[in-house]
Amino acid sequence: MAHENIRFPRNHMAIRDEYFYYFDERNDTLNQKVSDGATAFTYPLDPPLGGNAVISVEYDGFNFWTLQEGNTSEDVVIKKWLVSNYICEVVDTIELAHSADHKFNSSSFSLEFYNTTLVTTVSGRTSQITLAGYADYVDPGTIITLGPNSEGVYENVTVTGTLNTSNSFGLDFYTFNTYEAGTKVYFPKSIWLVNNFLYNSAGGSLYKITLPNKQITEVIADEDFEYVDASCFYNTGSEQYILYVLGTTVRFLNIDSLTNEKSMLLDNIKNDQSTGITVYDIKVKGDTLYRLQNKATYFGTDYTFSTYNYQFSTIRPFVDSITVDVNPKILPSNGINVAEIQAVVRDQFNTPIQIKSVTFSDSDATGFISSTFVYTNHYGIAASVYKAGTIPGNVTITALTTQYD
Amino acid sequence: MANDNLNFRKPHMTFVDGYFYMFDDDTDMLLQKTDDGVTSFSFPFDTLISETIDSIEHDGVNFWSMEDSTSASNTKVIRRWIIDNYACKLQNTITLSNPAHTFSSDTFSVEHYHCTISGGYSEGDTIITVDVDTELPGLLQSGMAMTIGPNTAGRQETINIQHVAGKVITLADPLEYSYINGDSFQFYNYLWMFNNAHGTNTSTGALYKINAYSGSVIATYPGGVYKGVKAATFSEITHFTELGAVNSLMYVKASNLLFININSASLDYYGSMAMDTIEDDEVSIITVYDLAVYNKNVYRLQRFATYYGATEGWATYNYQAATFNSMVASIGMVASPNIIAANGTSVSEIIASVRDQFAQPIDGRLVYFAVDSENDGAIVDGQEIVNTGSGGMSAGKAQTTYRAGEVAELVRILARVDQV
Repeated sequence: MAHENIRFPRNHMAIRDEYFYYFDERNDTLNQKVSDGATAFTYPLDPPLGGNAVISVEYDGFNFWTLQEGNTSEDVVIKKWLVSNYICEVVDTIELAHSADHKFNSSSFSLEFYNTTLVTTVSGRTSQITLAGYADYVDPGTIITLGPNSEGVYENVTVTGTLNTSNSFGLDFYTFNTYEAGTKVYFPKSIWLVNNFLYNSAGGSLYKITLPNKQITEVIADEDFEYVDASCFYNTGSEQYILYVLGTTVRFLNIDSLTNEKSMLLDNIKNDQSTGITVYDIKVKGDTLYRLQNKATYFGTDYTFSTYNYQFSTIRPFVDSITVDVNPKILPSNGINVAEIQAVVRDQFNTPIQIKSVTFSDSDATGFISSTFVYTNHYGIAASVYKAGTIPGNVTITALTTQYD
Repeated sequence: MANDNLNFRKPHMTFVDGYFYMFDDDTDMLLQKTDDGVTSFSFPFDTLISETIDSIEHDGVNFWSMEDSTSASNTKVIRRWIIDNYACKLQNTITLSNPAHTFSSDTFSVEHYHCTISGGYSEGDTIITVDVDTELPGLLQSGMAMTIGPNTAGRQETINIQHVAGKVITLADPLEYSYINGDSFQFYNYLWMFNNAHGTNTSTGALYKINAYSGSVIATYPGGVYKGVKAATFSEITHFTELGAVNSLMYVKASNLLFININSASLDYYGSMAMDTIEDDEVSIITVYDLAVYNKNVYRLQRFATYYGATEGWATYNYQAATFNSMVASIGMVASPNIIAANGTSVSEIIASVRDQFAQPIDGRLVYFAVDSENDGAIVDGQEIVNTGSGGMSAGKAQTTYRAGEVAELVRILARVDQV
């Protein structure tokens, strides 16, 4: 079985519904592919990219966003694109040019965005909307996209402020169309740019650029960001993170506390168990993390591709490791002495998994394990007892657990 | 089996009544070929040409050609020809030259309309009524020309228009022949040229609307999407079922055919159609040099084509066919979750999204799911009718469930849809 899938010629990717997308500066198209690499559709770009390759791409549920190098290697350009009427056209441009204070060189960026719905129907020529969620992230000046309504129409509105309830907002103008309750709502909040510079010097950093005013509002200094090729925004509903790949882990940077709250192990290690595989882009869809790579390891065999293909990781907690300890490890074969057995079950975040069934077994014909079916406790530990047999020899204790979905 | 057909030596083509045509500047002939490349007829030019023709069109009566000027840079020459008495005779020449514009183009098309007359008319009549949709007479104006016929005796004639009032046309000269209800009535009005500059700005492109009689520029529509276009045509299109018959300007951009609504102020698109103009590396796009439409068929002139996963090239230009009939063009697939334990019980929901070449969902088709794995994976509910939005699914989607086997492995789910 071949292991290539989307066969992208470029090292960036966006995912929308069941399709994968990349920007091709040679043909000036946004290409839509299915999961086996076949091209499903293409959208001409207007204006063309002019040979300036896209470095990274994001999709916010409504618009595509691209990162390109600017006029020099110390400038970057971020463009917002809209697929409309079979064309992919630029609707906004953010130019981050070098200055006395800042230099910009980036391999990746993330777009903080929120998707929710309307609580009540918005009639045409209304200057008020009520959102079902993420109201705390809406500020005066936030541009919100409504739609599609039952007629398939979209519309951008600009918020002026909060009204009588915290999730109701006034608009700077009347809506042109009617949007039923439950209509989708999209709004981008900030761009998080991984920068290979720290201000105007060498060193890594993460820049927060708020929208729509395009202002730099935060610079997080961390030399780790100098080595980041892949990042994306991840919203659990209650917590929001910037995910970025560092070596063979994905770090979860909480954008409120600006701390790395979690780290997840990836299987982007070659068969030699020491060489890491570069991840060029990551995206989250549902509870799956898609990694874009041109190498992968499957069941102990390394593969190299001439194109870029996705590999999966799951974000939902998944049994990743189980380790067994026995205390004491040496017993007399008297049929009386016992040893405590502990199996520790953890997920890919190295977090203990609770209430997970563990089945113990042993290789001793005369000894036995008191409880062979045990659930893990709060610390991910399943405990039992082995009672020695009467025949001297090595005894193997095995613990087995599995994931159930 | 060799896949070349027309073996045209020039990068342009038009299609009329089952025959393919090429302007040969080497022999000064309009060549007529059958679809296997055999020359069935040739029409000598009455005016010799020395430049290779970039693009040709046929409006139902006239042939139109576009070429670079031999005498001036940034200048295009568009000519109108007619086959008369076994020769291809030049009727009019439009030279597009203006210091305010850089005329650099590879393709153009002619806006033209075909309808019928209402009622019978005799020799000497100067007023006729056409049987058309209400919008058509607005496109026909005083100073333009119409072609009426052929009549039952095979006669047709072209007469200038003096006045248009609704569906009633006043001719500048009386009819020479008689016609009956339902005889053909045709006219052209504008040229649409895909220019590689807007004015003198060559960093973008523009679509130029040009008076087909005087050659004056009526309007320009700037846009990067109009730059680098090599193939275009104009035709009445009936396959957009929700729109009915529409007169559309079509052009090839990347691997799609885009349909412009020329009656909209901002030149919106009726639709876009994916074409198989991608090489076997799944990246490189095959150039389409010219385009013709007849009924449900699209004919693309190319020097390369991909047949069943292998790209081949030729020294000549040949047509490749596409269809306006809705066909299954892609099946998008997603599994959720796409990592499950190999415990014999875990399941993953599989969703397939079926779309046609216009990126529109296809409803009511059976989707057959299968497992491509090395061990004992199994499909639950091996096939399911594509739903039309029920159960929270969007149109054109089908759903099934995969249950894991008991051996850790990479599993690939396959989906197949039969074309009807």
